[in-house]
Amino acid sequence: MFEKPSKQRAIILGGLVTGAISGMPGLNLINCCCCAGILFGGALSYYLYLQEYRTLTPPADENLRVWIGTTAIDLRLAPEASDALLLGLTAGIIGAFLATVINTIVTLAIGPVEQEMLKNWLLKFFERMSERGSFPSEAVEQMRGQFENSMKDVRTPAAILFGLVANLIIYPIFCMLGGLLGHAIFGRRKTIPAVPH
Amino acid sequence: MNARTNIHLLLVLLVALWCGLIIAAPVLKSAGLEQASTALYQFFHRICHQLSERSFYLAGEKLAVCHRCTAIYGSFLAASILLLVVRKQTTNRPLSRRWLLLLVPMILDAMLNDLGFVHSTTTSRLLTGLLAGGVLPWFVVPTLVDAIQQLRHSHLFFGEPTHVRKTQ
Repeated sequence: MFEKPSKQRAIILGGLVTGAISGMPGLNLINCCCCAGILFGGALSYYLYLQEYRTLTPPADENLRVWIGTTAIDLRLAPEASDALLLGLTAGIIGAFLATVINTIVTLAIGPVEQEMLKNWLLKFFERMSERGSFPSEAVEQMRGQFENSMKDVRTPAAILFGLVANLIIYPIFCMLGGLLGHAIFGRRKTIPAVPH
Repeated sequence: MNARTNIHLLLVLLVALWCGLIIAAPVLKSAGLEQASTALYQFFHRICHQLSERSFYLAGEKLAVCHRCTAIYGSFLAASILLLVVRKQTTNRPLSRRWLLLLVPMILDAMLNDLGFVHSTTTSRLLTGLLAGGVLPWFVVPTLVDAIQQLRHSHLFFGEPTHVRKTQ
């Protein structure tokens, strides 16, 4: 009986990537594009597991084929949908904790001078985008206000706890979606046409 | 109704709840429930920039997500309901991968806008968001239903599957 490879490595790496992208200031702007960073982490976790699956599965074996009519489906090539779901969920949980920890450490570690520098750098970036016409100029002031509020809020224990709870809801959902999309795209079982006798 | 339909229905309800929370934020704010609405805005701020110029308004307050995100989640919900109605539960394979090309307009709209080549408009954000949200359930929902069915029948979580007949 074929034994599936361990999911640990794929989950840990997927969770680390998700947490790193989402926790680092500046890099976490990717998540404004419909949580692209979190979806990527889930899909990466599935892809890494798929590679491990394919490396460890035995070579082409008649016992690992299912015949449907005159077409054989090779069972060894892809993890199941439930694997994708579990990979995404657990990578999302790891990513949520890691993003919260990184975000908190970065915000608490940087002093007021560095905060001001980071704020000015981000605002200059958005001002340049608004000059090019790809960002509404009125929104630059809104971004200033949002940045100042986020720096203020993240220092209180209640805000950190709220952030963790929100991340623990959002990250597993979107990471799971990423994993399922990864399965739908990469994990299709190959169909092998029947060899004429 | 069979188990697959029940699972699909549950998913539709969860997506509807998500969309309901997006709409609840401005309604709660206009009703004077500041704390609840602030919590919802802060929750959705993790997944959306919430820029006022790029958001719809309801009861005088902006929705919890922007135009594009509203279009994505709304069309995801609509497509999930459509999928429940039109697809037989036995033909539960995801669509051909070519349909994922419908995500490309949204990715291009966002990227080209950020790089300054094109200025995206409310219409372009809405249309590309509708396309992207409309195609995703046809991939995600069948796979998710399969996954939950596999977990229900696995020994890992629920012990001996109930459909296995024990022999002496």
